[in-house]
Amino acid sequence: MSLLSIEKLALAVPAGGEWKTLVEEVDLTIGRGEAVGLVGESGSGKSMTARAVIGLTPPGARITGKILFDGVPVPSGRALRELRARRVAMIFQDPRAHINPVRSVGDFLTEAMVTNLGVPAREAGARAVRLLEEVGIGDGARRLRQYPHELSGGLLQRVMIASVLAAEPDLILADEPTTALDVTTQSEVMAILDELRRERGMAMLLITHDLELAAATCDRLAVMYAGRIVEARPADALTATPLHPYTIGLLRSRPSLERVARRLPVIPGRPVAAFEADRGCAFAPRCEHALSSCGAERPAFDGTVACSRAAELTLQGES
Amino acid sequence: MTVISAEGLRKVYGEAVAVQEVSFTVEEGQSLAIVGESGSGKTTVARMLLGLETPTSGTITVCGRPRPPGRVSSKERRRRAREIQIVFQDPYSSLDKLQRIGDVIATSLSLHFPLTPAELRRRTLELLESVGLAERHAAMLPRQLSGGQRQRVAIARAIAVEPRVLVLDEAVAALDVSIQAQILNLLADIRERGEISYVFISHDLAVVNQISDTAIVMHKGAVVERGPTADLLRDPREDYTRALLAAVPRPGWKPTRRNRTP
Repeated sequence: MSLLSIEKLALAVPAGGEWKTLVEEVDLTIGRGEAVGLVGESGSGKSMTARAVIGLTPPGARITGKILFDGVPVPSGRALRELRARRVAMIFQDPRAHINPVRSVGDFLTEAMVTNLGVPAREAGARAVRLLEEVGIGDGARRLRQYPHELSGGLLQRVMIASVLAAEPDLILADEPTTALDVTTQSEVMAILDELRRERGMAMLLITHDLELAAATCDRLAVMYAGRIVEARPADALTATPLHPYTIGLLRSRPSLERVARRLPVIPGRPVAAFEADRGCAFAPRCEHALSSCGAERPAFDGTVACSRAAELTLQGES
Repeated sequence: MTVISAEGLRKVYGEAVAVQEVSFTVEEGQSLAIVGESGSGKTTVARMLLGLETPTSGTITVCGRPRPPGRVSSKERRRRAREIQIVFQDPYSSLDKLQRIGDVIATSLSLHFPLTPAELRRRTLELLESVGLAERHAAMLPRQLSGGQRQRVAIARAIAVEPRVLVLDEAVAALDVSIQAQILNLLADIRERGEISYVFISHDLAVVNQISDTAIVMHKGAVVERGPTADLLRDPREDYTRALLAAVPRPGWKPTRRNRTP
């Protein structure tokens, strides 16, 4: 049985007297200890999908479909708080916005241990120092006395990871955890997250716009466009032989270290949100392979790809 | 012809040395990348080129004329603006949210050229078209445009004055992947059309590879390596450049841990 199972998830928010759909028809599973990357551009619905798992959706949002965690529907109220405290943890893009600036790093790390996990206060400090050591921060005793503004973004994100490890959750939701960091720091933070997650058998849902980063750190990838999953496959296969024209376009349009193209092969137009899409395939207006039929009917996601021409395009060697 | 010559640039804020001993030249039509991470001093160098910061020491020469620190007349400021323009990273905060797109461009034009209203209108539309926007966008406000479209407006505003040098400070960093490629192509087109030079400031080596001929790598305020971009990326000499390159996600790449932070 999957650790997390999302079925036919749809999410809409009220805006100006109507419902604006942000996520539709999303099916996604994550096994124990598995790392899945949810990749997409702005407005694709990737963050909303992850947030729906722990009820962090905008006020008044209408959510339909099923989200099962360990076989049980995600609860509300006290049980949801319990789930967030012990079993599902989230890492955000900007740690500075999610760590109380007037409390010390030590308070931040030990508070959850003491209140949620029942660790005696005396032990919590020592445990926090060990956790900081694990995320590569030495001199932990001094760090615990520091405040968030005294730490760089990279260090603070590692503190955030340490706090997540403290609870030993079954699942980590990491929403663009390294986007605000420098490339060398990104490499280090992802390596730490990857290593410690594997050691402890934690599953991860990595939300990112960076296909290469997701491919390097995840077992499976799901690419989202306009609120839907358009392709979901093992990471190696998806990047080596992408099937959906959008995935192909994303991989091609990224500049490379090895070669210089006179012009980059671009996807025309801009990414759209689910509520902006017409009734056919949401990607059709930007797709070089689109037929008139693509604009008429929305292709179903068959568990691998959502494109009515995927099979014939692959045969033609288009990918 | 050398359009920019920077020699021994240094910028100190109180005790902190932001930039030390930075020298480089940019030739006409050339694209120079300044590569670095946060705190490397790359943006401070850009701001000094524009006159938004005053160097503590060192000299900047643009189009053969030195730009000594100190107050200058508004006439001289306008003349300098004709030589060098900038596009910032954030297209949300670098446009006036109450100014219509057409007026953004027209203001820039009328400041520098004596145009009749009809000519102003025609030239505005030409510029919008040259960056891939349409006439209908002229009447819109910045909030009605997407991030990529706003960055196109910022580019149109900058090239409106026909500058010799365009400084692009992380100008594609905040854009979606598919939009980033469109803007990089637009910048390549603009360079092919005219005699414009770029100073392209970026942390993204793949983007730098696509857009620049030569590059300097900055670390902690100083230049650690320089050379033709292709050579620099293929055969980096300095450990820091190697570390930067090794950190770029690509097929077959795995993130790695450095030594522990003390």
